[in-house]
Amino acid sequence: MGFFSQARLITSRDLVRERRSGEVLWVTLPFGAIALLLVPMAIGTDAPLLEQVGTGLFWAIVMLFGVLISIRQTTGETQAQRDQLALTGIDAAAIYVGRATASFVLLVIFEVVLGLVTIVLYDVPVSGWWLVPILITIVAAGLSLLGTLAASIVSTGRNAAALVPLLVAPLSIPLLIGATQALEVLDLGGSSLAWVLMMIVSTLVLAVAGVLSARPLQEI
Amino acid sequence: MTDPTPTSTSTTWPWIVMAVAGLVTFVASMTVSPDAVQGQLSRIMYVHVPSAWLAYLAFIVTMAASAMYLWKRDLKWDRRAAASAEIGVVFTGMALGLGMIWAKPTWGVWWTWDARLTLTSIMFFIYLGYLALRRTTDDLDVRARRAAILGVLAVVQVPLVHFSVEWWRTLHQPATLLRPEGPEMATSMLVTLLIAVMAFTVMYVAMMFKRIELARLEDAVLIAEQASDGAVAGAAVTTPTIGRGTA
Amino acid sequence: MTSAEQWNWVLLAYGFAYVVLVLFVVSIGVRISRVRARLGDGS
Repeated sequence: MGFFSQARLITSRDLVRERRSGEVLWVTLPFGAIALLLVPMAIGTDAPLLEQVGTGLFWAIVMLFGVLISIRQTTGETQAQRDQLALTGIDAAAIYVGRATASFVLLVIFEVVLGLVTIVLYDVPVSGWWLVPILITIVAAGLSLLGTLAASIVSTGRNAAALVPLLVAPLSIPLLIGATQALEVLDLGGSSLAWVLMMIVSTLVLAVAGVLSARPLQEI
Repeated sequence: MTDPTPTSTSTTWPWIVMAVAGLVTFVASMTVSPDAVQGQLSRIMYVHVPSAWLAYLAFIVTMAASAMYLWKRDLKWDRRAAASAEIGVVFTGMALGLGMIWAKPTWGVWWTWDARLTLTSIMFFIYLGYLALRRTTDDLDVRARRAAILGVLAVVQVPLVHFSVEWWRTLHQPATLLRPEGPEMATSMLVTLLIAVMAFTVMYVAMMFKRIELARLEDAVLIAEQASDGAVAGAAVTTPTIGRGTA
Repeated sequence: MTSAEQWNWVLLAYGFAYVVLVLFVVSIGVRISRVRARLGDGS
């Protein structure tokens, strides 16, 4: 079985699991939405203020809560399940790519829905709309690659559920800053190309790191 | 796996070196003449700057040692990485704290979002994540491999973090951005700063010796515990009998 | 800000720095002796 068919197998397995358990759709997503709801209660419902913070807050919530999507699989897994998957002979890197792709799909859905919630609650301005799908895609890719890698590193360790977000958060900063600045720069009439390129580089670095470390991590 | 030698004799020179280095820094920073603009507050720089320097040095050492472990699979590199990380956390915390103590009387605020401060605080959390990861298992090889991979991942991603934060800050700089060291440093101040940086570096080396010794000893304990071949649950575990027993 | 007030801040800074350093260094020493004791009596 080729590398990409192996990966596709893993992706469909993960997505089928999600369809059955509905964790992302019915738990993580509402959690993110509630976070967006809580913030105006804390900082005030002053419309101009919310309009200013809305976009940035959206990306921050995506970074912080989106990682929960990447770790949903691995925190529920036991060492026995992990060993069994390894024994099937599927390439560890294919497992990584497959997992990350599944998380990517779910993250895109997550971002789109939360994006709509943000537009409604915060009344964010609509300049640079064409850029938003691009940013959503890159952020979803980078975050899923990073989250899947972090989850593999922590694996069956203690405190995994809390530790993975802690590891992801600092390293997701290029994505966070890139996404927010790309939109802000458009508002000011400049070009977002540099920021987008930086995000793409960051995502590629994560992809390479994830693929290269897949087998060493599996051998533990 | 190399066998850490727990029966090695304990060295005392690191303690002496640490004490001397601390004393030298203190004396140097107290005897130098104060800055014309900042007054006595400039003395805080002589512990703040060396701390920040060491925080970054320790970080680099941890990352390099992580890479060495992945290459050589020798646990001594893992111990070096971990020792440097723990020392690095302490110096990063010190750098941040001292920076805040200096900033309050100078700028009137405990914190500003300038690039260096932001990056140092990010580094602090990466360190904490690294140390937390090491606590997730008692298996020496598993722990070493996980930590080393995180170490190398940080090394490749942190420059991007640094880059994005710097870029972000240059766009959002406040109208007046005061440089911590002042516009120009008098020679005496520069010399004192260099003395302090060198003293702290020597202190770091001495700390590493002792912290690595501790790591070696702790690893020896873990190995000894895991090698013990006593019965797992002893006589409490019996074979189950089918068809008998209650309920 | 008077020189005296400045010295207060300097004192705070050095107090913080050296307390942290001493505590850290002492903790290493204490941990070493504890572990040596454990290894000494055959864990």
